[in-house]
Amino acid sequence: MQRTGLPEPISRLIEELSKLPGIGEKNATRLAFHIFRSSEGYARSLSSAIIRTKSDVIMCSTCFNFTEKDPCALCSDPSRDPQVLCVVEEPLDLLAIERSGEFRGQYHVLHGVISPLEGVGPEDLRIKELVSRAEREDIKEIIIATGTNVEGEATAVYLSRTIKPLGIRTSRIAYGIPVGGDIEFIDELTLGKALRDRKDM
Amino acid sequence: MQLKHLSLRNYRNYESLSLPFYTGLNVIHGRNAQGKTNLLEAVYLVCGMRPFSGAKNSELVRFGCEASLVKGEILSANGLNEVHITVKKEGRHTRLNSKTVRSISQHFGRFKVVLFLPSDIEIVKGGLQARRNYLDSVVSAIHPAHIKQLRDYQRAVSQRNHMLGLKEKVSLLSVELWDEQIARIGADIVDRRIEMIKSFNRKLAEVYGEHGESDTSARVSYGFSFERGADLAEAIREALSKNFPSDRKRGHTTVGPHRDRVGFLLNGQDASRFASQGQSKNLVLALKASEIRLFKEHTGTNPILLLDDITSELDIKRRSFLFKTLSEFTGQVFVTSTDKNEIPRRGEFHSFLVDSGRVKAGA
Repeated sequence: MQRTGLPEPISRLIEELSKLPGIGEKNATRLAFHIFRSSEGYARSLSSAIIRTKSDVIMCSTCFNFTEKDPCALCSDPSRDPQVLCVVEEPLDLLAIERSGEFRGQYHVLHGVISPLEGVGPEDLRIKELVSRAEREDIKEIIIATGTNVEGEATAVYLSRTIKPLGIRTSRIAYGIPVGGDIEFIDELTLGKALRDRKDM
Repeated sequence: MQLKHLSLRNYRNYESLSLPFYTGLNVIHGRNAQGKTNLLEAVYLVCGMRPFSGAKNSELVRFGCEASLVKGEILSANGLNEVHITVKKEGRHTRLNSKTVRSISQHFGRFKVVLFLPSDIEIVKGGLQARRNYLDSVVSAIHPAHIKQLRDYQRAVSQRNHMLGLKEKVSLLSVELWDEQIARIGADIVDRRIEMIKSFNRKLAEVYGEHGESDTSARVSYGFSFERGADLAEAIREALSKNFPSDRKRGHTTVGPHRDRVGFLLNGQDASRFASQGQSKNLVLALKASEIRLFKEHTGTNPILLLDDITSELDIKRRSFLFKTLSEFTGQVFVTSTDKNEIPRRGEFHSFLVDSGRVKAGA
């Protein structure tokens, strides 16, 4: 769309920015003007940062997380336990688990969940690679950390049925009440599950 | 719970309207086709945050206008709440106390209304789907988790159906993972439905007993589409796997809670087949009366009761059943009628005369 009174390059930038998720045209205009008013150095560094996400990021051939070098930093870290694998849907889930600092094993990123309605079957995910990893490496336990929606649960069932026959311990992350949360504000599904999966003290 | 005030702008046949409402009985009366039901619908919309089922957004906007605005002040246990709804052809925007409401279902049952429309006779006389939906809506108002689980359940069934419909060969496992979800969520759904039916039947017995109709007994029944075992999830799982070959041929899932049969028995007979028009209407009324009691028992508050044109088709004896139910109810009631004098005056009584999109309070 040509905006009257706006040079074409700025108009173009607004157009591109407003394609980003969560960015409307107003916000895009604000951002475009901010970039326009900034130094040329900033504009160059921003554009090269954008380009580099495409040119310099590859997928780790072991865990399929995004990385700059293959194998990735996590897979080549000798201090991490190679006998425990945590399976996640997306790289962002991996980041979240890393932030928890609780997990010192290695990861496997599926890049999605099984959903026939969206045309995604097990063969479209990195499940084959997970199985061959499980057969090849000496793995003692696989922790399934897919989401708790219907597709995440179904994928977890698929994984456990595929991995268990290999004689590897398969576990599912627990559901429960958030730490520091007030019981009265927790939805009944979560609370019900937390009660059913309670622990001895 | 009480709707204290309602304002409308360009809603259906109303150009502009601002009305206070009262505790007790609010009678909306006037000749036919003046807008009585439209006003009742606006009350329903502002409390339930959604219009009558089947109403399209474009129908809610006054002819020739861009948008309609509906605003209500609702008094509930947590104080006075303001609900703003903007309706456009493309969609509705709802705000609760100035905050945008993203998920209506999260607020389901917050301002609970019990609605009685003449077409509600479909609950008794209509198809199985209507009866299942009715039961689920009652469960949902008391257990909000039910709504989410119904959605998840439907999603799992759709996923399974998609697998069943594929032309190429599918592995057993790729179907079983959905069976697992259907069984897990389905068991919770059936559990809640059965619990609700137990309470419903207790209330129905009270309602029929109190109204001197003890010769009539009404019960809600539940028919399983699968062989019931001690473990519901296991029973569903088994039924799904047993039916896999035939489901594969048909391309959809033929067993599970979405195929269970909710029925009403009047004197032990299937009401959908044997009840007369009047009996069916009474049964619906008794169901709603039970629903009110159940809601009050669980939440401690009265819902708002909306009744549209209910006296039509009810003979004198059945009217007394209706009026007794009304007089016992201590919450706020909205009634539409062509003749305000046919509604017995008990307790607080406020009338609103509707004449071609204008409302006169106190007339």
